[in-house]
Amino acid sequence: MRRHPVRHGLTRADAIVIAAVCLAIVASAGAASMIASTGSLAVVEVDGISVLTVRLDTDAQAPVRGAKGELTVEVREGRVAVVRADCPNQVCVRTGWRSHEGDAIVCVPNKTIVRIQGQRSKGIHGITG
Amino acid sequence: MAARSTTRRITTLGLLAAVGVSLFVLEALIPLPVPFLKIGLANISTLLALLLFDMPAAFVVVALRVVIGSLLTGTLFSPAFVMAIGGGLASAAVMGLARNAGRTAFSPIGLSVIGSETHVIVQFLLVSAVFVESLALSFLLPLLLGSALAGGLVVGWFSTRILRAIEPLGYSVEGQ
Repeated sequence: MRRHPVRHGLTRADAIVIAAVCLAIVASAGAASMIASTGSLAVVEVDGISVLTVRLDTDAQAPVRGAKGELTVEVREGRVAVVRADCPNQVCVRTGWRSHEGDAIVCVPNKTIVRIQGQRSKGIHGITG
Repeated sequence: MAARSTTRRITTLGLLAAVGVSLFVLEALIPLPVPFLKIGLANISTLLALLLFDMPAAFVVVALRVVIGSLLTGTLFSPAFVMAIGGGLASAAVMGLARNAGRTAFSPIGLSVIGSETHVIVQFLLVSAVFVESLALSFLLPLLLGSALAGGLVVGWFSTRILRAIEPLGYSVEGQ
């Protein structure tokens, strides 16, 4: 085998590898943000007590008895909204459709909160070096 | 030159393993915000063993480095040890295959990036298979791949400098 001095700089193959790695970083970041942002459950609480849990992957409509009157919670296309409510300000209805984990729709007069949660357990259990 | 002198091979691999252990322990001492983000300086010894000798040499250096390094840092046979040996051997294997596939296709920097990315991907798979559900962990993937790229470039650069420095001592890289 012939001997050469140590090569300077990057080769074509190096550049391809580095470009592929950059692409993988961007793709995994995109995938991670998509997983992160979409919740999978909506939990309806009235006066701090959970009264209804609905999955966001199936369209549904459900009445909820709030502290003051009735609200209608609707799930459609992975999003959730309070579409009708017996309350004076209609803040909850105007909040509109929500789909991101951690989002919440609040109706103060009815003491009702719709929270969006992820299904998996969050957080990291252990880290090694 | 590698195959021609067994004595030189043994002594050089011993030196590389020692350097690898030192870097391994040194890096374990550096406090980092997240433990899995490390430069992987110890990979310099694997890469040099591969370039100056061959793939078996790289395996020997990785195994010695991880076993002795884990003894010194008190992590022998712990999950960290499994991560280190799994990542290290896989990385040596893939770097070796990449080098054998095209003797001059990759510079030390390219090989080093291949090695560091293999290292984090194998560790990621090990962690998600054994310890944590993969979904929660997948948020870390871009961070891991990115830091491995940076670490790989640093390790490759150092290795190139070292190879150039030891060339007058009669250490040459075949086909490079």
